Amino acid sequence: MIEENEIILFLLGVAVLFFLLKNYKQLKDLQHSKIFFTGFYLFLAGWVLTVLEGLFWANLLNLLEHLFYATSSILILFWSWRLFGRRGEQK
Amino acid sequence: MSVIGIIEVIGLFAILSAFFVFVFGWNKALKKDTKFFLVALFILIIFHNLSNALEWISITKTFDNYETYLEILIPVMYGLFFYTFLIKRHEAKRLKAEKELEKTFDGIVRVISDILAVRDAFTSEHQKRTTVLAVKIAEAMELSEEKIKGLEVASKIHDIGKVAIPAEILNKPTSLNEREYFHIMQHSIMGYQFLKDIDFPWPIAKIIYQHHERLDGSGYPQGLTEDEIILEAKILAVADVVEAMSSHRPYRPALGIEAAKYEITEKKGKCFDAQVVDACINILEAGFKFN
Repeated sequence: MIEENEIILFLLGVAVLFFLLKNYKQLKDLQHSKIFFTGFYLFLAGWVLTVLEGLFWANLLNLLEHLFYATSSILILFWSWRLFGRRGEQK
Repeated sequence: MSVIGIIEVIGLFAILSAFFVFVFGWNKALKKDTKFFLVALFILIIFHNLSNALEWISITKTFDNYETYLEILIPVMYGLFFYTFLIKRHEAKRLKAEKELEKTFDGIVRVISDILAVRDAFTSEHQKRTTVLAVKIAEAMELSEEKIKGLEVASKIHDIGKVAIPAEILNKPTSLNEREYFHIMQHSIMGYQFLKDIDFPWPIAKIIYQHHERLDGSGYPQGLTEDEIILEAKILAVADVVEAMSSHRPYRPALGIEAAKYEITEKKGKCFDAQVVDACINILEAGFKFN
């Protein structure tokens, strides 16, 4: 059964994906964009694991899922710090 | 609290910190769309991490109704409005600072131009007329406002390096010998030297340095070719030649617009950028005249 939080997350996710595709080139041109994209992809991977954990290896995949979310946030923090914390410049 | 709960709290703390770093240290060079994307992404991850963390540290066992989500979303939306307010305030301040800076730059350019006018009124007039044509070419080529402004500023002072050339050479009524011509060739280097340390928001020194370069490498001072020459310098080169040929010089009478058109057409694609020449010819054929 689909829960409310999943609907909200799905809508936010679609909006974010739309913006990502629309601004892909600009984002790619940002400094340290690899860190940002790795963080973003880890976040998406966490979502995929949420589904997979329902199928097999529930405990392991659940732990991995949450590790991915946390690592994703840490990478985005690292990227934000390098780009905005040091008042970096765009290429 | 479980291990996963701790991991979620770390994730939440990290993404909140990232958001604060983003808000308080953001880069004004970021495009508007990119900013909105990042705001949406931060909201998504914060919301996601927050709901996960609350669930795993057992503050709220289950999120199974809309009200609970609204309780989380409403402060997030307030945060977004506050953030938008910050953006607007920041933008207003930035625009004000930019205007003031532009006024300062205009002042610097005017002073530089006036200095040259005192020493060499002839070159000063040449710069003014060249500027009018260069800007018209840039507009016809649909360059961005920023590039046109940079080209305009560079054109107004493109021969500033001539202040370093002896007046007897500048105003010599006969042809120049090799040594004198060498002196004249130094003016783009001198102009570059004068301006390279001024932090203009446009590549003024570079445009001036390159305005005598030619696509085939026959220009000076560096003998640059094709893409090594920036577009603004290519435009200035054409406008400079057309103005110079159309006007009187101490060592010869004016050759006229037709001769200038013939010269740039003849060297189109070899010395001068083809698109720039086409734009210039269109402007001249539409009846453009130097004042």
